[in-house]
Amino acid sequence: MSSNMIMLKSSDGASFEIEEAAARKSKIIANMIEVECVDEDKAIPLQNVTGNILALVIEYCNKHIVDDDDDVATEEASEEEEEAKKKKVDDWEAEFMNSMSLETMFELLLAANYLNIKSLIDLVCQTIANNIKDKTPEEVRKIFSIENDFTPEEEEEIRKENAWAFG
Amino acid sequence: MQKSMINQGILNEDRISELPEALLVLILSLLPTEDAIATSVLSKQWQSLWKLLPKLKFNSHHHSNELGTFSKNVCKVLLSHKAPVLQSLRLMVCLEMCNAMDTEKLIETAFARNVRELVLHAGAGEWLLYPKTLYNSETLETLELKFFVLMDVPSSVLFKSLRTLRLHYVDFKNDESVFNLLSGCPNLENLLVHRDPFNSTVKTLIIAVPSLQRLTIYNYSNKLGYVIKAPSLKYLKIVGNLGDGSCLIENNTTELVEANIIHVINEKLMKSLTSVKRLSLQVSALKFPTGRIFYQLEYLELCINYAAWWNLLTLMLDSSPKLQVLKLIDPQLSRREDLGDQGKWNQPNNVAECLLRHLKTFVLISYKEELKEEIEVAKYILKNANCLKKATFSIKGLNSDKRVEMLEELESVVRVSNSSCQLLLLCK
Repeated sequence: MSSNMIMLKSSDGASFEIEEAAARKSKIIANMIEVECVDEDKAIPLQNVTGNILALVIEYCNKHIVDDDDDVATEEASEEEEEAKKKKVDDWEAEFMNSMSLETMFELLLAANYLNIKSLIDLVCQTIANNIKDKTPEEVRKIFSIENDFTPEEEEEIRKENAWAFG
Repeated sequence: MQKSMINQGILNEDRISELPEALLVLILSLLPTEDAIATSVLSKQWQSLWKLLPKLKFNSHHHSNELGTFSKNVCKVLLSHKAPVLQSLRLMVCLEMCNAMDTEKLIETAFARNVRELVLHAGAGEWLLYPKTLYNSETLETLELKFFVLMDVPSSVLFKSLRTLRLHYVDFKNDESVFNLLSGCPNLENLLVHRDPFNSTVKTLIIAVPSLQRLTIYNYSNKLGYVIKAPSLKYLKIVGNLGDGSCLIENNTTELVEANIIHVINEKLMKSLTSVKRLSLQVSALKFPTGRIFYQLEYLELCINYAAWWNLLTLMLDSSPKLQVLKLIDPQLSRREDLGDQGKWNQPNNVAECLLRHLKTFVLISYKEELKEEIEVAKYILKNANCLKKATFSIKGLNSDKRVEMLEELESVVRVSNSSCQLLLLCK
């Protein structure tokens, strides 16, 4: 595996050095590398991502690069090794998501979406979904500051439409 | 999750509603369907978002006990659903709350919405007759029926796009029903049958599917048999106990590359497996047929919680001249069979050809703390496998003293015979 380094530059001007293999987790950057848009001495400007979010994205990518390398060896690895490895990644992801505020989480989701990093999009969406699950609509509105723009009559009507779902 | 909520606090502004619609639908798709539907009441923007969900799942137990309410509720949802494609509909129905007529109405509505995957789990108890009028769909790619569904299949059946069919405890009215169903699925690639040992009208299931690539059979009655005519079959898994001669593979070609055989020992079956590249065996050594050579076999997984399992290992090493990967697995949860008098492992007189020339990887997984024959066998393999690159030992509850001791013992064997082998010892 080559360990080519490439430079990324955030919207607020911060520069980050990242291994090419990690950067390739982003479909957008991978495509840029494929068509040789990347100049070794020049940083790739990412206009929609701020430095503190980009740092999180890079942390995530660095953590997940190893696993992909190992895929080649999966054939020979035992299920035990696989399981242990998966649990380690799961634990890391839980801790990673737990350490940030909801505010940051949305920034991270938009950045993952912009950079097209499928597994990170899924991870953040799952965490947001977990914050909705088993909560009443009132609780969900409160957590996410969603303004209720229905009149009480309209709201009653919608509840009646699929009353069973509000059990 | 509650803990994380406290840490992550509450937002001061509505960031979630600013997300692109595709991301919001993705978030909703990670929720149970009822929770997703309940978001319709959050605000006007959210009111119709759930209608774009590609997959829907309903359980009649989450609805009123009154007969018919469930199907009314679900039909209403299906009719207001607006996603361009209904990717999947999963229905868990209890006959007391959703009878055959209700179920028919639901499937009919799903077919009208061009559903791609239909999963129907009927509550145990009474038999549910799969609606005779619903054996035609252009779009259905996956069909799963579970628990006491009876199929009376007309000759006009056509599931043109069906690739995967899973039948758990499904009975057929007669042999003709089986024939009609399978010939009505011209593109079927994956088939799973798990038959009810007590309520199977059809005794010998004839699986004649030219396009079939993967076949999984669960069978727990020696009164039930199979005839497999699947020339494109690549993967076969059979779990259970079959009587003698009750599983016959009538394939002209040798496409089969992988087989996973659990508990089943059958002379005729083994004969059909001699061309496989990957084989996983969980069978007793006692009745295992001898005299077969597995010319193509490269990967062998052997379950070692049977009495005198090493006899089967010796036999398989001798009959697999090209073996490259060998895994010996002692599964955690299975019952150990008569551990009393297991006898002892005897080193074979001649070293098998695969050890001399091909074996690259050896894995031993055990949940037993006391290893005796396992280690003797492992040492024999380390000593005699000339091309071994990697040996992995995953053993439960080995304390650090024992671990060092064992590693030293194994390393000394490797040092003497084969210095390029990588040794890995994992502890649980």
